[in-house]
Amino acid sequence: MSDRVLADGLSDRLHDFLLRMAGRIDDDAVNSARELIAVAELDRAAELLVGCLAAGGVPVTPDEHRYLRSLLDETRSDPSLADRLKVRDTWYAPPHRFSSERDACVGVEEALRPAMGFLRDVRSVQCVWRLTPAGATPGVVPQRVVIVEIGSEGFAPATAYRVAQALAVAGLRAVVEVLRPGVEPTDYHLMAAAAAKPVIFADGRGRQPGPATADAARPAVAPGPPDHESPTVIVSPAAMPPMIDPPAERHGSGEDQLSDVERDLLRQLHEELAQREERSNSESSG
Amino acid sequence: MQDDAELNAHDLLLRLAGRLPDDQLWRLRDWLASGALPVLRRVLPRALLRDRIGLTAEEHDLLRAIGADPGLTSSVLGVLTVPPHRYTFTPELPGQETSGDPVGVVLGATLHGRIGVGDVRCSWRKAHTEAPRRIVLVGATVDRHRLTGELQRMLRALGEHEPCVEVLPREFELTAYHLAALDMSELLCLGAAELVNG
Repeated sequence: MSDRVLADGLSDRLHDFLLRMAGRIDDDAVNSARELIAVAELDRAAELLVGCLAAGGVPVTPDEHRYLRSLLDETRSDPSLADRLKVRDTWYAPPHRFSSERDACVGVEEALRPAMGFLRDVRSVQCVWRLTPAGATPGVVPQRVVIVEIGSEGFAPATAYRVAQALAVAGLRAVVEVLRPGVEPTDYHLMAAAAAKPVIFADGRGRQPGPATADAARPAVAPGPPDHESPTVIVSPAAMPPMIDPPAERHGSGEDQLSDVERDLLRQLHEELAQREERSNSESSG
Repeated sequence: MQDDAELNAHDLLLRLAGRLPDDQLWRLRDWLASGALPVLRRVLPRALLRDRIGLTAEEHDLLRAIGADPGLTSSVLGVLTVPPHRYTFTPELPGQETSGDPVGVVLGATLHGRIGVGDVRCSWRKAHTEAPRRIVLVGATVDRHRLTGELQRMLRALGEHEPCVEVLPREFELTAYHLAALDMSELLCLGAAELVNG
């Protein structure tokens, strides 16, 4: 029993970590890794993720790096594979843009209908187009993003796999993001949800966005009922690395507490001040 | 066999065309092109083991030469000869003669006259249960694994999810798969290098 609980926890943690990778690695890698988690090949999922991050030169935070090492270790893979990753305190990633100007929900309800009976506790399904490429080996854009919210009785990896599979069978290309209760959505998912439209199922499911993205959806889709929403284009803010753990409190205020970017800005400021001082000295002496 | 692990890995992945699933093959080639050989070293033998794909003695040597775990490598099945592939090839898709091939045009424009590149050809692979798939065949003298990665990324951005790019060295002993594809291929362009593969 305890082994099963441990294994289930690991699947969910891998799933959650993949949510943080959305938009940072290519969509096929995300879908493949989710499938591997769902079919209990956790070591392969972790290795696929690390391989894509390493080959794509995708930066990870020190927290993410530690977390990945532990995931590799727990899946009985080789933690040293993570040693090749770019670890950065801060970085700038190009922002993602989402749009529902063209309806991304077309055909989705029909495609998912055969699978819905097998999926537990699906609260909502939303669709949106992502206009920007993801990862170092992106596929063609626009890319359909399907956001599924499940309740506490649902299984995130299984839902992601089955939904992606049902869409693929219907010939719909999509990357599927399944949000489960208690897991904070990333900026990527909030921005995607804010521009997304709900899929309305015959049994009435989907009329309301799920709890995780309801707040994000509200400002963008407030006027009118869901099926009369105006098209929305949302630009996500500069993608900052998501936090794995709550940030450690900073003690002291010395320069050693600053990030790389802050240090760089401080150095530029010092240089500019020195140049100004030099100029004013030479003017006064001239 | 070369001393360079990356060259050996490229040659082994060439030999695995049509044997390892396309989705894994393009990904492993991308990792090789991008310097992620340590991950490839771990993942490739496991992929062969899982799918029960056998290797010839020479291919076993290549797998060991890229630094794969000898324990895992030893478990990979051995075969005397490469099993026959299940594909047929055609130089053009039906309807292409009227619609043209925009992706082929981009490939030709990119590689035309490029140093180190010989002939660039395209064939279409067909199998009973699969949609036709473009096979790009390029003769090249240098940086073959990086050229593979570059072309794969370009093809993906143009909508081909699992690109099949075969960048062949002059000295490469063509497999039955490559010979069949070259036999039914169409020339897209010529680079600056003089190579004859077909």
